[in-house]
Amino acid sequence: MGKTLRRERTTEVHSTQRTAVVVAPWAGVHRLGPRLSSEAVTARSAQTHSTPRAAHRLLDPIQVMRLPSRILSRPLRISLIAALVPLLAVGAALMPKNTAHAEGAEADKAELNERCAVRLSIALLNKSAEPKELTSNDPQAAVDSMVASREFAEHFARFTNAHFNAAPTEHVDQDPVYALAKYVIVEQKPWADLFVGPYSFAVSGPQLEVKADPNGLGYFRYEPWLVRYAGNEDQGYLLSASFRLLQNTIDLELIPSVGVAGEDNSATGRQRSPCNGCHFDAWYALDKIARLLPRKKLEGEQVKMQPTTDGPQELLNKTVKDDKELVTSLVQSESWRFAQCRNVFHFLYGRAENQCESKVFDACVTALEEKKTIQSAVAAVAKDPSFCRN
Amino acid sequence: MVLNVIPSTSLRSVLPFLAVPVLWVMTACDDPNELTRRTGRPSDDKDGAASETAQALECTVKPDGRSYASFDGTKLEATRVNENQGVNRARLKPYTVLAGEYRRVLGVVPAGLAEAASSFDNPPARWHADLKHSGITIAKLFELSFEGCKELTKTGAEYGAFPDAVNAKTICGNFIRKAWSRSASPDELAECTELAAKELATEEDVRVRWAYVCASVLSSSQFLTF
Repeated sequence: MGKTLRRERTTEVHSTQRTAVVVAPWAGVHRLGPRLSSEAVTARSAQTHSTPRAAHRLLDPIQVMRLPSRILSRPLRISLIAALVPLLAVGAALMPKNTAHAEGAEADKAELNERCAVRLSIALLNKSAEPKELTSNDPQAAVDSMVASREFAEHFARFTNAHFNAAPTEHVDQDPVYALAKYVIVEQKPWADLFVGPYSFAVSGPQLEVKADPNGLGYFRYEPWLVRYAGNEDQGYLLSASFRLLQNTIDLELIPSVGVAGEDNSATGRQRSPCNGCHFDAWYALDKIARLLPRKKLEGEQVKMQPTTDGPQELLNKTVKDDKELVTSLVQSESWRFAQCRNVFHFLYGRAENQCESKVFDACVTALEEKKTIQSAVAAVAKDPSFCRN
Repeated sequence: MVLNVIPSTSLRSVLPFLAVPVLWVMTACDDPNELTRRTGRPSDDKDGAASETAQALECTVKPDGRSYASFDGTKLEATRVNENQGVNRARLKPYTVLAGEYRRVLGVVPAGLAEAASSFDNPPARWHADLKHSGITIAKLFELSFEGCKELTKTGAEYGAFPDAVNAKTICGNFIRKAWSRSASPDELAECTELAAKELATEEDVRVRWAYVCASVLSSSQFLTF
């Protein structure tokens, strides 16, 4: 199984990818030569579609493009350029948004409000702004009503589902995160209910219904979710589900190691260095968490879950008696609040918060602490002037 | 804003200049560190211009925020990147909002948009994913924009007149104001006018010519990002 794991934060990578869109036109001018491998160019050219005829006509001047002709054949060059024409044609305009020269401060303000309305509507509701929002004198005043809408619930539930799972699934019963996140938002429940709330689920037509269940623990005890992340540990311990539980609650990022032939992947092997670091010794020891979760049992080809019999485990710097105490401890931690507000930034900005945004981030955490709902946390960031500054 | 360093040259001369970084962005997608040279190796940072740009992106006034501790005492805020506010904002509009955005700007939705979901990797049910730019998405966006713009320019007296320095400035200004939600700068107007009046001179159908101008505005990052 090669389940040795190591911690790795990838937030910066994500963020720098996004920066590129803004920075690239100036930063990369001198760097073309070494980066344009013929394979890369061929791969990208192969993806292009045809563009209207005048677009190709426009391209003729680009024959002077400083691309090494030995790298690109003419057809490849043309098809690649054709794909870029839309950007290039107004390349001069790919500039910071405050280069505008509107007539006077009032016009500037109106334009800023319009851009703010567009941004808020797409970020919060995943739809284009309504005409009345575009002419609003204070678009951010609408944030509270936006986060109270069904569109927001749908959008944030999808976002959360995508953030908490490895890949989409066709099976609605395997998507309790989406169903419960939407339910918690629509019903204005505390966001913590997504993880520790007393719920269970039932498939109803094309939907997964949320039902009250005093024995529920968010979606963590829902069997299809456990099956989805059952993994392949030889004794049936749910190591995958253990990691997923940590990732969902506190955004712990771990990358599975690639096993080598003959490696002992059993519990005994995992107790040896370096595997023991993540599996047994860390405060989040995966094997210990797995011992608080049900165990997988194969019945023919069917995966079933059976209750754990391993008893309390030493975790999170204390003795944890069961999965409920584990998840409750995680959700009550500073790490959980931090992770949820980082998710809020990913939702609103498409990236994690940066050093300059720490005050806005703190406002998000405070809202989550005081008002408990994810709507309030999102609103704290979306209503901050910095969200619409440019 | 600290990044406004575009030269005020003709579109023709700007095109090859801009092709380079755009291509660079596309190739750099495979290795995000290529974009900011955050590889941790000092020798990587030979390019003075890159260093200057990277420095300009950094947070100038770091607020005194709260500290957040993990279970092992690790400071969670230590993972934050050193970026300034407002410099990392260009996020592509998702496919699902394009209909509304085209309607807002053009008054019509390109007929081909409904069938174009596969060009944009539109996420499946119950899922979310930010749109990533690629050759396919960019080409499709131009194609759709051009289609919508042709609908717009097929009527209207202003689109029946051949572009000159005067009317191009007005029409370009209108396109940009509507699509980008801001007024065009003089340089931008000059570039757009150049495109309409000179670069597209071989297009005999004047309404199609205006459609290309319109499509160019709609295919810019100013319209495509939010």
